[in-house]
Amino acid sequence: MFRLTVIVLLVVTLAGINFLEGQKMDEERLEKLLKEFVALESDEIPGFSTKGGFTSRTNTKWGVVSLNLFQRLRRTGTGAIGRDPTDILVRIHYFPDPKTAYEAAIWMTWTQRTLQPPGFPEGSWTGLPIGEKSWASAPDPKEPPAPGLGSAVLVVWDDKIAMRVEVDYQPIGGPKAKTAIFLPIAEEDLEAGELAARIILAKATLVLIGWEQLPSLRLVVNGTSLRAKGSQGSLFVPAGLVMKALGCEGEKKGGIWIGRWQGKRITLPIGARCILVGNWSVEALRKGRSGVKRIKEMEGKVGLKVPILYDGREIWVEGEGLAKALGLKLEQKANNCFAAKVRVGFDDKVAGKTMKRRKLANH
Amino acid sequence: MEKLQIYSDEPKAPMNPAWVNLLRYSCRWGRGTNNLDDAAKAITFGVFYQRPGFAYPRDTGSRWLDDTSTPPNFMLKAPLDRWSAGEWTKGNCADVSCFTMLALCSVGLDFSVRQLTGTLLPPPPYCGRNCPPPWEDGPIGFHFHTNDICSIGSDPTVDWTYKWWAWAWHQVCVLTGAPDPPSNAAGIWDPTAAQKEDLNGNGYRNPPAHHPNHLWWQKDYWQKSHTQVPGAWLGLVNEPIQGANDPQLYGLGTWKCGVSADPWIPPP
Repeated sequence: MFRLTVIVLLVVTLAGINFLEGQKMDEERLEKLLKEFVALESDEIPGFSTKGGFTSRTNTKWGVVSLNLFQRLRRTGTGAIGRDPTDILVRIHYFPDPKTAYEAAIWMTWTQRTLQPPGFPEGSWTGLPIGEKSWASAPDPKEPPAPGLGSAVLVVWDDKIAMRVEVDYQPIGGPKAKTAIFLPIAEEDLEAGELAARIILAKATLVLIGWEQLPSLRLVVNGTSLRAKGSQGSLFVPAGLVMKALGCEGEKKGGIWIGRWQGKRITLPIGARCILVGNWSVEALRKGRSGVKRIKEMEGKVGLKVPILYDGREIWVEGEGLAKALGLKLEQKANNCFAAKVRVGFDDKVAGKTMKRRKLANH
Repeated sequence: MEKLQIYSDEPKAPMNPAWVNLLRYSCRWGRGTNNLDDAAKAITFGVFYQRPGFAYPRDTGSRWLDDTSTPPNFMLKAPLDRWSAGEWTKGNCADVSCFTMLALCSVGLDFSVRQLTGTLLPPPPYCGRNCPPPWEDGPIGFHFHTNDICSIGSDPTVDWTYKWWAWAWHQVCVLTGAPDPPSNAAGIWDPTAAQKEDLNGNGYRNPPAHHPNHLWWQKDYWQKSHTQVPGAWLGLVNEPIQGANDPQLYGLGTWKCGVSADPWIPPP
């Protein structure tokens, strides 16, 4: 039964050319969507409020124009000296090509310690992957207060997007302190900052792939009717719901969904280009004296063509990647072979396609 | 009513016309001075001692320069807005020297910023010392070790705020048109960090600011160590011993940043 579910997903996955290459959106519409859809809302990151995002355009040194979104999220009223207020400062730059976006991301890590960036180590604040590549800085959260702390930066590159997220504290001595002494950024605030980065990257990707325009299809998994999205080369499934229908228990904590499938841990970090399969562990850099973490050990991972998405309610992942992560044998059969168990209804133009019998061994 | 004094000449690019909300600071800092040396020193000190103001971040990264543009734009409105709201801002040498340059230009003093480097040590662990120092966080390539300095945002009158850093380059302010290194003729205005002693070994505890009373010449500023004055460890660079042609221009060399009022950080 599990196998059949995945078969259905892949039938559509194989249907045509990659829609990501074919879609273009005019800049004005994209700018509007960055501001109105991608920018986070108050309490989307628990406890943080915002007045929304600002957009701008920059004539860059690479001869192209970048579309930019800036946003500040602020948490106040906690009464915690040194953490009140806490800001999450977001900058996202959209470029016409991935190469420029990568260059821009690299320059966002420029420090005084190196003649050539990147000046931050590769990694993230939770240690889990985000985007195609990420770099981070963060003092050790367990460190005593000192000058120079109170700030942590995460830079992410993914496709045409370069993004920088900073978590920022004010000094414990207030605005007139002779020496600005800061607390290190607490682990939970690093996690909140990374959650913001993951959600924004996921939402920006939804915009760039034209999510709203993607055809919907209806699939039934073990008797549960679900909605999937996609066409012409990529199909996205609501990971949590599909897994639940498959009998897999799991939960979303922050920006990470973790479940168990046939004794194996399945980890879906929003905004990551992979699914982690089996056990994994992370380590803090600088012999544990840093807030920057990286995967230390990992049983396996499945790469994805598109970051793991999040629409505000559900985590969406490429059906093909999920099937591979679950280690299922993939088969495509004619409609009537599994119509009784799994039914697929296409809402629009994909409808009516003939599914030919074909075997696909594990991809 | 506050008296505004505009120095010597009309505002200089890229601060022409000068922003009123920057002039509020630069005129206050430079108040009462009547020559370039005093004014430039006072404004350099003003940036260093501004409360709330800049605080040097441990990761040594820039916060206010938009490096996607040429030349990089300094996002001036954002830090000024934050100070007005009673908030501190982080800033590295590129940030604070660009800000100081803009403040100087706003009152008619024609300054640029200059990126410097010199003979460098190999990456850790081949550079000696316990490097990187525990107060720094991140990868280090070829670099130099500074003398103990008190970075911006800290009180230079107390000893515990002085630390050495592992840097690969540094950015300071110089007069526009000052000769390139290794000429000794360019003065240095460096709001990033205070030094305990001036280049003559006298007690100082202030940010370097070229002045007849404190000759922060470019070459001596970079290192006035045992290579030049036996036994003295003065200036910025502690090790390695610098070559005859140090310091050298790095990256953008001597340049002026652009300035932008875009909402780099929107209001909360």
